[in-house]
Amino acid sequence: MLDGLGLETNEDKCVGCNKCIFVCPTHANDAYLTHEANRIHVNDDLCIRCGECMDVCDHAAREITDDTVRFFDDLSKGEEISIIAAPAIKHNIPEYNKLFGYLKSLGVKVFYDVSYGADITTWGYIKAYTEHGAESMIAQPCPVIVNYIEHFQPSLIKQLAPVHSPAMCTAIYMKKYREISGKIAFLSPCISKSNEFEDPNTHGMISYNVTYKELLKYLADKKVDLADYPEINFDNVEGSLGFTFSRPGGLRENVKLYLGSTLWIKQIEGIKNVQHYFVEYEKRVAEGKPVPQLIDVLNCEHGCNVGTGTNKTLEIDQIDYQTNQMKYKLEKRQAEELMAYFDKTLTYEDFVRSYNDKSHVQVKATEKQLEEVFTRLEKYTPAERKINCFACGYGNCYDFANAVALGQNHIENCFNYSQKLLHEQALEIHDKNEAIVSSLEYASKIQRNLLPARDAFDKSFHDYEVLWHPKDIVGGDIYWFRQFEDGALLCVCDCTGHGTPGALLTMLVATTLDSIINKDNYSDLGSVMMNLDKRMVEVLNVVEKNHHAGWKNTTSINDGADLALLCIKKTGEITIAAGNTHVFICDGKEVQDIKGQKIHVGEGLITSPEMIEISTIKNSPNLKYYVASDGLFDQIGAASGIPFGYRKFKSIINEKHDAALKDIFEEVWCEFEAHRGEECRRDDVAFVGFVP
Amino acid sequence: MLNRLEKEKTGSTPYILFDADQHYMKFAGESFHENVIEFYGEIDSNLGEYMATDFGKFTFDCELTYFNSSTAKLLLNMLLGMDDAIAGTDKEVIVNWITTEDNDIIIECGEDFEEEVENIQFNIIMK
Repeated sequence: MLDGLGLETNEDKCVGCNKCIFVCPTHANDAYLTHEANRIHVNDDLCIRCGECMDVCDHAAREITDDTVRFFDDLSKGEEISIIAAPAIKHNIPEYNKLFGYLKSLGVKVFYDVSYGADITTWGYIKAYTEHGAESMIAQPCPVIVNYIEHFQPSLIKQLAPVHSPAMCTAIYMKKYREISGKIAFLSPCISKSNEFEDPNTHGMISYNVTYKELLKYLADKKVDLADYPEINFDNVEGSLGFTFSRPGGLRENVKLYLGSTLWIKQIEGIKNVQHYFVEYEKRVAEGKPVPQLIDVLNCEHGCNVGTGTNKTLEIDQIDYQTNQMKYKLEKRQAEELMAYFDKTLTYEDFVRSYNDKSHVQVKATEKQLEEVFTRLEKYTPAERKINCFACGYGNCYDFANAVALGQNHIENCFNYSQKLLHEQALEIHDKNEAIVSSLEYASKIQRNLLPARDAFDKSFHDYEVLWHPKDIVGGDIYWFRQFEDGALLCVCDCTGHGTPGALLTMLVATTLDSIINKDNYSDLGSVMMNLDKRMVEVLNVVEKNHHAGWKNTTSINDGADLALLCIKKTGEITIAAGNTHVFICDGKEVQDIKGQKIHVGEGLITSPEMIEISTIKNSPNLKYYVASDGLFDQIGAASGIPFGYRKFKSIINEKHDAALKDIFEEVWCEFEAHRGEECRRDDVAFVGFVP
Repeated sequence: MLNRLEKEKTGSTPYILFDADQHYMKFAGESFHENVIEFYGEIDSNLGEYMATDFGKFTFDCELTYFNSSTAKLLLNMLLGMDDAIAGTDKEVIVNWITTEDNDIIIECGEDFEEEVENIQFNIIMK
């Protein structure tokens, strides 16, 4: 009949802040992980629809579900429906008469004021005290309170007033005494009324709970302008003070009017206050101690006028002012006459309701289960189990552990645990990093050892300088040198990649050069390139292929090297063979840039020495030679966002040409670092300069 | 084949876009991820499939400021692949190599690529 739980969670809007857990009076919020994110949903077994979570949620993740849409759908299908409106409508929808005009135009039968039903409720309470021996009653118009008692404090069921709520009394009156057929829809400030109407003890008399919030939204969506409709009044006769029921103390006012000030009435609002009070009350009842004769209790702190089904935009003083204005119009004579009329015409038993014990044994986790959870949380000491922060929403470590044990929460929600986890992970990362770095640093020593010692150049050049700067401790760039009787061979090599993979390739190149170069072949640069290429292909198991044999080829890049070979003969002849590597020769006036061939070593494509282009230079004393890997030129600068480039480099070596290579290199590196700034290194650098 | 493929740039990979319906591809940013094959694999195979179709004109805007040698090889293979695909047909491929005047490194790379292709209209554009 009535569907909709009254309240549900929009998981997309929930961010897992846990505030709903914090405010919930009955632990009716369960946290779970979805895609590693914390989310919370309502636990329907435990939710009493108090609305605290709706108020506290600033992510709009808690949504009302009510019968507004179903009501309008059924009405349009020709269903016979009458309206009853809560007293709160006068404040929430001041133009309610026009609303009735609109609803009448859609086919609504009659309109009854629940204030009238509230008068009947008052009458019923008076009867309960004066004729049916009631001693201490908990007022029950608030369905949240009824939910709470039925589910969580069933021992108080016997204290609940045995008279129906104003809405139900209205419905009973309409059906039994006015013989109004068809269904009844309640225009409501309260989401929990859905529970009341579903309850077997209300016999399905009211079929729709239409909240003001959803109703106003519906009217706005349909662009209904109430001004277009005539004013329709309530069909019931005028009642008494029943309209005050929707503000705190309203019921009390009414009962006092008839039973006088000698009646001990306690007024209390707010579910947390109520929970606290009921513990004391139950104890006193059990011990036979004096307790109030009437407990006028509401879940909502400021009453039904700003209940869970409203937009909560009304000002309390305004509500009171309007209510008081209505009160002043009333005369005592009118009130007494009404009660007399009820005495004559109504049968008390028609308005009596019963309640069901809906409590189930609250499953609590066992000591053992709690211990297991605390172990997982790494909380071993009493202090750790009493941190009681609010991150998880419970404010109590034992409550949280209990929830986890029962599957209503997950350990990742514990801030303390998450911190510990992060700390452990940080330590692990630190240790692993240290191990990796120290291993790399040792590898770096090995790599440095395979570079030529500085004094290897001593005997060969008038001046020289080298700069070897891997990107990450070890690198893919090396330089290799050997002096023979009549000349020397220098190789500056940039292997693919950097870091450990690059470094492994440099070992291969260095050892290959070591083994293939001798005094007879070192100047045959074409053959040197070809043999180096062959050896790399052998060792790295490269399958020979053409450049562009279809698209499949792109996805199998193999490793190799870009290198420059310089043969420096004692005769002053310098020959150069280079693949994708520039060689710069500076005479102090201009810089000659020998670009290098577009060929990679290690792909198996150098099938004959003749494929290699050789440049020949006749050396003169004022010439300085520079070879560097692309890591020097390609470095992106923080400020400019572009690479260091050749232009800058060429201008430095040209301007500073007369200085010693040591100084020239210092200047280059200084400019390089200034250009780089905060930008990370992109590649390794190997840079060699010499004066033959 | 995916008609549209787009990836946001990261620390070591560029922004890439392939749109078959718009007959357009774009790379922008830096490319120095160790495993270029993994990164470019999908867009490369999409491009391959597209090249086999009867498109009229395809435009590739390449605005990379830095790329490692593995990327360079891959780019070259892509360009050569496109060059072959349009050889002897009416299909057109336009490659806009976009850089700035002061970026001599990238300009030189562009000039190198330009030399490798015969059928592609290769434009070096300085912003």
